[in-house]
Amino acid sequence: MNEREKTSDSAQHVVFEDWVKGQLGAWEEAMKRTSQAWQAPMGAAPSTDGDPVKGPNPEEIGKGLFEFFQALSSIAGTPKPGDFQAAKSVPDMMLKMLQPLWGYSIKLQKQWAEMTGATATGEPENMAELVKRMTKSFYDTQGEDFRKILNVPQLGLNRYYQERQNKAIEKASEFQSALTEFLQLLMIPLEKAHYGVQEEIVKLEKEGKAAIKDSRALYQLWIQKLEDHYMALLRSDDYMNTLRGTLNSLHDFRAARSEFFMDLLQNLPIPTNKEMDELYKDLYILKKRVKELERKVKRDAKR
Amino acid sequence: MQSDKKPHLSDMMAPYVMAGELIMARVAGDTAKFHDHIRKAKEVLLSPLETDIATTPYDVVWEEDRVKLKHYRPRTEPSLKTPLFIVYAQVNRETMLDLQPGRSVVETFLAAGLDIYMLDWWYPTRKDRYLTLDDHVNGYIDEAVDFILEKHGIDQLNIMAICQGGTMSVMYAALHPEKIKNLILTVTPTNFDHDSGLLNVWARSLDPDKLVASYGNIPGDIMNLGFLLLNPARLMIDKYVGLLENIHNKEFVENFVRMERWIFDSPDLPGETFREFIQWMFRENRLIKNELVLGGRKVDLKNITMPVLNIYGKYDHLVPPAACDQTTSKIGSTDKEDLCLDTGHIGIYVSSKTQRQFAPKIIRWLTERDEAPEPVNVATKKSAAKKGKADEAAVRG
Repeated sequence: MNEREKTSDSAQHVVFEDWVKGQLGAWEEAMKRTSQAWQAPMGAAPSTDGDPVKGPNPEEIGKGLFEFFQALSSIAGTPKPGDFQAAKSVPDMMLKMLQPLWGYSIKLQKQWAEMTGATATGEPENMAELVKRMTKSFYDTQGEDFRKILNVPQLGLNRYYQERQNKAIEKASEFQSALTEFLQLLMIPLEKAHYGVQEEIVKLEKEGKAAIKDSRALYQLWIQKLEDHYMALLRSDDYMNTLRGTLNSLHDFRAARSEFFMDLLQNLPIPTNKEMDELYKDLYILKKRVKELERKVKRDAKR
Repeated sequence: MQSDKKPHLSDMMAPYVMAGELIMARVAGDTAKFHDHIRKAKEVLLSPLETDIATTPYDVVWEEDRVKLKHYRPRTEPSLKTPLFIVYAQVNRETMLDLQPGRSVVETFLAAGLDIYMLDWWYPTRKDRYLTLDDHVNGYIDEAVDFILEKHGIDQLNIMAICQGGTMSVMYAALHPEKIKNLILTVTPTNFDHDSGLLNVWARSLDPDKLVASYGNIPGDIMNLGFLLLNPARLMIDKYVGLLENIHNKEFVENFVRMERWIFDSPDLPGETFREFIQWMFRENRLIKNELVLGGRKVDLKNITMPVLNIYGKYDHLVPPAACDQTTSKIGSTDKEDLCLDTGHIGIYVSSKTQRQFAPKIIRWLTERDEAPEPVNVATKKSAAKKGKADEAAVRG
């Protein structure tokens, strides 16, 4: 790890620590009170001095959780169990617990990004972009090779069956690629809303106005920004094209899958969709004819 | 925010972390209150909840294939001579008009003495995939109308139609005007050439042939997903955050669950009908242009000469005003009225505010255009008149 990365990781650590501590402080208090409240109706009438009848108290629950996560962390290897003992509060403990998961998640993403070349070929600015690049990279490289193999000409008696099977696999892969791209598009407003809220806070600070401290107001600001960004996205040509592409690839996949299953079903005493549809169509036409004749008979009877 | 620094992966995760954080913070709110909410939530969720919908009693009086005709059991002597036939859309179910006591259009109509029939499209199966718009309009709707007319020994009935059911009823009214005394259209799209709603933009870009070829019938879940994507922030996040915030409130939870039960009770749409609707309505806008042909007959809107009341919602994101507000200018009626309410697509039927406007307005409008019924119960008539005045006052207020 070079110096720049160390500094960056350290900054991340500080931000992460502040975030977890700040939020978990409130949650710790809430959990304590909630735990007391949940115990009360479960046969715990208050004693004469006003204290609830003895049951598992928050500290004991916390201790149980602590032991559980201690065991878990010993499996994971980091951090050391001693780290937890040093933790003075639930936020501290949660922080210790979350850190390895957080670090592991980042490590995994790094590995994946490096493997697919996403970080080597450019600087994705957000998660949506990263996912897009990773997907594109995978389907453009591995996917292309895979496709070539699937399209190797088949020979012999089974060739049509094999071709249909390969086509179903190929179309499934294309649909997966299109679906990922579509979902990636839906991530963009979440990211834009995040930066929008940050900008709003900076703007308020610059104007000398008090920052938004109230979580309700902050949520409202975020959800409004999220809605605005979704509205802009959902009307865009980019979204329309991606949606259309996804639906088309879904259709191609379902059609290919259906052909493949037809081969299987033909050897079983089960009618295929195609056969049933032909039957339904005949039934539909016959019913329509009967209804028309019934109307005609009724009309003639009235005369 | 531009920066020379290469973004770290954890920076990239920040938007998602923040989203979770904000939601948690919003739900938790004030710590002192939060524990109390959780305790009450437990009581609410573990107690029996009243979440049934469509509980008003009815009889199925006619059936053809999958389609059923419901007749709601009257509570009073009929106050109108002409029965009311309700045609719902094929998207979602007609149970929305009878969501729960106190929020039921059906209940309000019955209390006012209307004789109500309602078409239930039920759940299409694969064998229904070839059914066309013509089959629904000139087939099922016409046969149900004939049944009611014959049962009552009358020549005309009133029709009230909802959303896509309204579009089909406009087609029906243009093809069979002699059978309709009054027509009430609610959130009924007839003009599809606008960009006010996302649904229009998307539907024009879809390839209906491929969808129908893939699925046969269009799955209700696919359509529901499309509706959710009309506003993901509100419909997939904020709505459920709202539930969590009010999870301690039994009445709120019951109402929420009822609405969820209705929303996700989505029958599939017959493939061929979907294909024709997308192609002829959304892409070619044939109805309002008088270019639609059904069953070999031209659907001429000038044939609609009966009185028409056209109600729609100002904030309707599915069927915006631009989709509804041309209808009355294109039809042949001289007695016609547009009413734009300050509400959305569903709110028009279920919000408590529009409950005071919507149903009473329809009752009043029909009463004004109906001949006095022969066997009239004086007490009922007086109370109906009294109610009508109260409703009018409520609407004005």
